[in-house]
Amino acid sequence: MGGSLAEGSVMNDVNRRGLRWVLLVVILAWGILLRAGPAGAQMAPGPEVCKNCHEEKVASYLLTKHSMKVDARTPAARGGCSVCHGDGTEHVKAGGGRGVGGIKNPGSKTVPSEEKNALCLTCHEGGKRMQWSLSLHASRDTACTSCHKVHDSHDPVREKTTQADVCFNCHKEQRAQINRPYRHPIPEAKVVCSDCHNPHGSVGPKLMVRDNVNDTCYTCHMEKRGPFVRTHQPVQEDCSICHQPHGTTNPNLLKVRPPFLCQSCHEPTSHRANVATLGTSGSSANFLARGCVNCHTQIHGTNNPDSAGTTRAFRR
Amino acid sequence: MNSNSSFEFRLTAIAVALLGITGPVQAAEGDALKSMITPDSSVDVGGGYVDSDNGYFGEYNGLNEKGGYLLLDGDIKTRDDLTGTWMRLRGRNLGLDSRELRWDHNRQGNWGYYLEYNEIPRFEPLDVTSSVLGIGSTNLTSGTVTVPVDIETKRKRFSLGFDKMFASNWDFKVDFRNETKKGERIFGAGGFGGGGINFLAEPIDSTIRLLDATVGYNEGKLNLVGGIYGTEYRNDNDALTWNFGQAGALSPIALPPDNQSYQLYVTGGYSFTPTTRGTFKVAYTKAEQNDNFIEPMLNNTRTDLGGKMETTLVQAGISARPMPKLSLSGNFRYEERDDKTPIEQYIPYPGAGQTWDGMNEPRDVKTTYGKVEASYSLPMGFRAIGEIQYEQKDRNTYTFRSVSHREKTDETSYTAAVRRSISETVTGGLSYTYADRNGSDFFTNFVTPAVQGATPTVLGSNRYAPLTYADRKRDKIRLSLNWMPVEPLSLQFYADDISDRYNGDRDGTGVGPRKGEQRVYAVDAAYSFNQKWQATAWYNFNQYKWQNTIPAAADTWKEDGDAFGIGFRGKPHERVEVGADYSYSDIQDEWTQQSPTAAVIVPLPTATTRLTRLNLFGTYAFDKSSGVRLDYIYDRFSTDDPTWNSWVYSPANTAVTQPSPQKVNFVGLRYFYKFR
Repeated sequence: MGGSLAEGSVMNDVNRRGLRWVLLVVILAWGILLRAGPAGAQMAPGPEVCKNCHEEKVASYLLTKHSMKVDARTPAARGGCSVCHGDGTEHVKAGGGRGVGGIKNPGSKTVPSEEKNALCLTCHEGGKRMQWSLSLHASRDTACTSCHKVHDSHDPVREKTTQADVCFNCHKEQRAQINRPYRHPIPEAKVVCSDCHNPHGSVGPKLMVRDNVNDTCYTCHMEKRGPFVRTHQPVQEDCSICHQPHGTTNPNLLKVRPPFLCQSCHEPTSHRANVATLGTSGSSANFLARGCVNCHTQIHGTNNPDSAGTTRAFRR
Repeated sequence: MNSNSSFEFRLTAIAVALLGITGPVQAAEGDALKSMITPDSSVDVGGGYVDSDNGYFGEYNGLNEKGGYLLLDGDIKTRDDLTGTWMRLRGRNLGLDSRELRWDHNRQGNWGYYLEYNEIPRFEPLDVTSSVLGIGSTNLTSGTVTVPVDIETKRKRFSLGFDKMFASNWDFKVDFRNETKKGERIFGAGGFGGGGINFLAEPIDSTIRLLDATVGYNEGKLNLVGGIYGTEYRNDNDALTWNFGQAGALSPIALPPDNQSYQLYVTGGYSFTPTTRGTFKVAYTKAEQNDNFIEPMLNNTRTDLGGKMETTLVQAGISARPMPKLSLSGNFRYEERDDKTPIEQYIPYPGAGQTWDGMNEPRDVKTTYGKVEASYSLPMGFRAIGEIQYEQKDRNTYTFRSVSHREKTDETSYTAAVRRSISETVTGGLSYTYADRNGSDFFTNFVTPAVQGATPTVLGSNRYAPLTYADRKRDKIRLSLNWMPVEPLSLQFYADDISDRYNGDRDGTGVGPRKGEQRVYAVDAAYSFNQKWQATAWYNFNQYKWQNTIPAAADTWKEDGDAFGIGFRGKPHERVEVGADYSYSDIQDEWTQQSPTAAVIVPLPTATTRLTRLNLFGTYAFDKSSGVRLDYIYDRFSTDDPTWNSWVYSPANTAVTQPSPQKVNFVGLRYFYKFR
């Protein structure tokens, strides 16, 4: 049993040397692992390998926020290219090629949109994309890459001057409407599609940024909100009953100009039954200039408490 | 130093040495990558010249007058990879009335803020001359000297925002906007007793404020956001008074009152499985309008409306893929707008035979919406989709009305679609929707009895089913096709056809809304000759048709719009880039009124509006970082729209005209400098 004191000391030295070597190996390994990145992606090639064949893609990626390593959420911090494209080890070994070695291209037209989007939603599901899963864009196979250039720091859909052109790739009617004489300043990029619509989904109709059409319009046209002493029912309910916001040939973005628009609802009593004329006075002035609004000035509602009947008819 | 501490010191030294070995390697890589990861910045400065005053070309961009302009844009970006910090300063149109400037600064994944200033002008495209004095103020009088009048508004928007992430799962975000709008717009007032129409200008001096603050929580499958959204409208002009020497003039006119609102909301989503997700939103909004009246009300019961609106929103939905090929989703939404504004007698009760009783009429609206959808994956990348939507609206009304009313409308729509989204060459979809809107019985309209409160017995007019309430059947067909027959060529076809049929009468005579039609056809083509030259072309046909019948005429409005565009981009030399875009729109508006009897109706003139735009640009690079850009724009607008052609305003020496044609040439030359 037990050796001498000297033997014990030698054994202690041997153990200590052994322990040092073990620790040295562990630390070296740790250092190598640190250089290789997180454990889950340590074997997957990163941008430094991918750039040998995909120089442009890597160069543009490196300019994006995705490439910021210090942000733990980014692909750069979680394994680089492999986070979105899969482990490219076999792809590299095979010398590359489209789809070779199981490499994934989320931008490919042959990848289902659900698969593409699931990749992006891994990180981008909250916030303004909360309602994505129920949006019409999602259910009609719109992929994130349909609108976004993930590898480009100048993503056109996120720049005011180029956003509308991206939307017009699908929304052809609106492309023509914004060139009508009465329109929002969309061609000038002073109003952009995303000012009114949240393409990632919302609880409002037509992907409105607020909960309904009117609340969206009020973000710029709050003077129409009221409520007023005299309210006009369609104004209170939905601006788009009368207005076409993308552009029309009718003044004030009306869907149809007065008196035709007004006669779609108002009973044909009094002057409301008049045909449209080129008259310039009284109730015959129902087509030219501002049409019915020539007299019914405050058609969106008036807060005038005056006790005359003219306020009831939005005339003052 | 004992043996243990000595040992620890040596281990630390080894670790440091290890890091010392790897450090230079990382540094070398960093040097190699540094130029690649530094974002581009640029500054453009130059001058432009517009050769004529114009209405439409410069309506919103500030290039509305003949003369020279400063062209100044900039986009400066920096990035610090050690801290993850980005900075961006963007300026656009800095020398124009449509200038905007934005500063963003953020530490990615940690904090960020922005400041933005944005001017949005609108210059009235119509020419106005008038002797009216005081335009832009709240008091208008008639003068004797006729002069040109500038009618314009300008919005000045200042926005700022801040966001902060904390504890890895939580984030806080706040956005604020202060927007002033000043200027004037064309307004008007009828003559008392059926006289001429008076030209007025509405003075605008108002401020909109928006504040949206949220707290978000994200943890794996759960995403939550709670927030408060506040809005405020302040108008410095309460009323417009005017006096053109006319007895009984309709003055003063009340201008939009101050109002404000706040909303509390919670929205969230939870992923039950990787393919099943539920979302919801609950919101409560309270809006108020209690601005002082511009003059006393009847009997001085109140000094303000006391307007109060409470809106409750509940939404919940779920989407799932129970089988690999089957996707299902359902969505429910309920919004109740409860107008709690007190009802008062604002106008004396009019006695017998009127469609109004002098009380104000708060408006409630309840909207219930539901949708279910199923889609199934078919071979060859096809997908079949079936969808049912239902929307019900409940609205309140009052005993005496000038418009027919039904308490409830409900609309059910059915959609069948087939799509192909997975293909290198051909993708697209074809869908058909049928929608049927009807509702509860229409109320019978009565006119007021002689004594307020008595049971009404005399019928009013009960002829029309209003556009928003009438029974309606809708057919909608949509086709989209993307085809890439060969690699450099891509084609796109789009067709949309909507047909609405209204049951617009209540009396069986065929009056009221009858039809609405909409057609859109579009073709797009893009071709890449090689990496240096690309061309695009497109064509759009939009048609809108609407029919409504009044007792004296069957009315039809039809608009046909043809538009096309062509463009190219090219790089004929390594230092030179060129491009051109040409677009043309031709829009015909036609209004016909067909009398059901032999009565003669003077026909309304048709209107043809044409817009032509040619953009040419070329850049020449002196070196990698600088060069010049030359822009040329030709813009032509013409119309024979009758709206203002024969119009006569009072005072008689006021004229509003629509100048046509308008031809504008713009030339701009800029020096650009790019740097990193």
